Amino acid sequence: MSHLRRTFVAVLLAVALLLPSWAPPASAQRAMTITVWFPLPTGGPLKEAMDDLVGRFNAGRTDMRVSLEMTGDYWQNYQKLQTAIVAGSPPDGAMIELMQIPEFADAAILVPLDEFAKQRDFNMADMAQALLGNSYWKGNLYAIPWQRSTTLLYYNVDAFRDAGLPEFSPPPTWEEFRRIAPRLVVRQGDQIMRFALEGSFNHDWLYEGLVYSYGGRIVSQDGRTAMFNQTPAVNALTLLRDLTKRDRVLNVNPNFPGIVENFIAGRTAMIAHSSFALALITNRARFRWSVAPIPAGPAGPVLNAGGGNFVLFAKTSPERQRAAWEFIKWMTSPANTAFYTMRSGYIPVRTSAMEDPQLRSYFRQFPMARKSTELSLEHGRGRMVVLNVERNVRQFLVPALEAVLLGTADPKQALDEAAAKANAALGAR
Amino acid sequence: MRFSRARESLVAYAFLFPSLVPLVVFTLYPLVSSGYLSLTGWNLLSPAKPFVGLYNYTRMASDPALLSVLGNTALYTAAVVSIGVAVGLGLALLLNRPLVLRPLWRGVFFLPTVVPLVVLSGLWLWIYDPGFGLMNYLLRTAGLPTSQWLHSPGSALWAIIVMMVWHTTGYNMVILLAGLQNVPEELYEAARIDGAGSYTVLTRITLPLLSPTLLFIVIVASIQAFRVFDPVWVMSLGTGGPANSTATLVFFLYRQAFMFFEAGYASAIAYLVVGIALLFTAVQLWMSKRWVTYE
Repeated sequence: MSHLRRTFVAVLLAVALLLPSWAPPASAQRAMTITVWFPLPTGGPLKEAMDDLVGRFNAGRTDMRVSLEMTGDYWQNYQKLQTAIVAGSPPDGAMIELMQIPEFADAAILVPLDEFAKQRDFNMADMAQALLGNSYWKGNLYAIPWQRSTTLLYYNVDAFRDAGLPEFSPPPTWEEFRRIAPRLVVRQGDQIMRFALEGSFNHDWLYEGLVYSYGGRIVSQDGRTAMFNQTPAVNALTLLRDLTKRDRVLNVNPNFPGIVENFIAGRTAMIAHSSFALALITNRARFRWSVAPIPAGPAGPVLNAGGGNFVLFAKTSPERQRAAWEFIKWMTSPANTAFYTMRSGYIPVRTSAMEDPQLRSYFRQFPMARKSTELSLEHGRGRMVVLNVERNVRQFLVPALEAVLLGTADPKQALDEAAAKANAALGAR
Repeated sequence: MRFSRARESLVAYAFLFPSLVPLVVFTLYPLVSSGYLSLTGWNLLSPAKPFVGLYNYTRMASDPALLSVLGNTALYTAAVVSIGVAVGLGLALLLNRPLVLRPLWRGVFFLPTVVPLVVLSGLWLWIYDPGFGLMNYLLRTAGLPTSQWLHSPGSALWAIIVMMVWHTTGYNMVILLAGLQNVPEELYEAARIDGAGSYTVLTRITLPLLSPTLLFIVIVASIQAFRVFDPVWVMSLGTGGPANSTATLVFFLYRQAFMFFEAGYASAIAYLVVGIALLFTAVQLWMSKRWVTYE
């Protein structure tokens, strides 16, 4: 009997231990703590750079402190934010990918930043224009660029020399590319040992840049109508198809990190990739290389933008929003954005950061980093604006691009079909 | 010792309580809740959950994307289960014989099962790389034609099937080995005395007595294969591509819910998944009555 009772008590105790404890919260801190979600893994050089910055910010403030919470990557960050928003408890601020801005802005869960940005202690005019393309939604400013990159062409200077081409002569246009590309290709029987160019052209990031450069768009300015079946977009895809299937000089590779490895291993003379890849190539490529704009179509060169931006969530009090803005303002100061560029390889978000003495000496050490930054700032372009781009555009566009580039569909026909589906989805939202 | 029935069941419940709580919170509640969601057009973001009746279910019936996804899933499941169980059975029969270094071989074939699927998928992504992957390197070295593997809609799903057969065979083998060891030695002895050949022993003794284990493996492997997600997600780089050729039912569900934010439609698909899994099990149990021998 007593044995049984003892067992019973033990079980109850075990249960009690499993339940969350209701200990009173630690005594409220005097300083306000602002939580910012950041789409990085919980380790690595970028995280260390961010910790460095946030540590310095916190050391300089007595009235508030920032707690940076790592959410993994843009996609996980996005999903965690969705969940938190549904649950009614988003963080004070977050860094989100630029194509996610319209959705959050449209759902009225972001704080418009216009009033903050107008204040005298924030120099909005100094923000890099090339990076602001997606910061606005329906006339309001919602996002401040931070962790930003663009598409970029990397080329193997030695490969150009070996092909009998002038060494530093990246093709400025696709016409020129088509002329010289066969000379850069190395064949062994039927096997292609080195392609002229490799890139994830099956995805809309590179393809959209190409369409811009052909004078077209993926969707209309208001994001309500698919435009990727119009002439410029069809021409851009036809070019890609011809380079892949007819000339066999372009290797469309969906494996984004694999492309960098192929470049380093000399399996392709050029790659179309992110400006961020510069950090991955530096010190690893055993040949001379350089950077250039992606070859241009009739409308001139375009480097398509991508990357993260600071936003604030509207759920919190004005007081907390002001505090969170203090953090954004501090982070995006010329010296701090220059610091992050040196540590991460991302583009500085302020024009004046280019004059930062430390960044200048860094650029002297890595001239390719300066060149790539200048190219991004000169040719950078904002992305298409669509609510839920995954559902409304990508699910139709990407398979169409893939089918054409695999040679199983005609560009015009495939894009027409995909556009009809996209328009149905865009209309139905 | 005198204790009442009521007290006895109270103790039982006390012991069950710790596992009942997660069961209710993480299984029963979501099951009921997604049943309700499947009747709404909720977009996962807005506070409003408009009631749409059976719209999501009728939409499934007329969704061409869902049809192709079901086709992919059926092919994948059939291939992974049949090849995986056949190879696992072959290995089990082989490794049930006295063999030099037998424990080592058993361990070697079981090894791929132990590695987490996401890690494996990432690894095979490189193995399948058409340019510098191990697979094409070996084929080239052997003078055989190479393949685009994951980059072509014709071969991508098969590339995943090959990897998953490799991954699941070890598990099938171990379970079947355990089954083989339950076959009484006397039966083999009796058969030998009666002069039965090894083929007769296999078809008249081993397989019939192994049939409950085989049934178990087929059910478990089918349900596992039917729910495939991780390798598709990793190896198609989150797209289900090229050209949707690797999109399976659970991937489709995930995409509707967490990429397209159609929580209502995704919940309806989740019920389809449950329905098919139940049907599966029912059919297999019914079929088993015809050919499974219980001792």
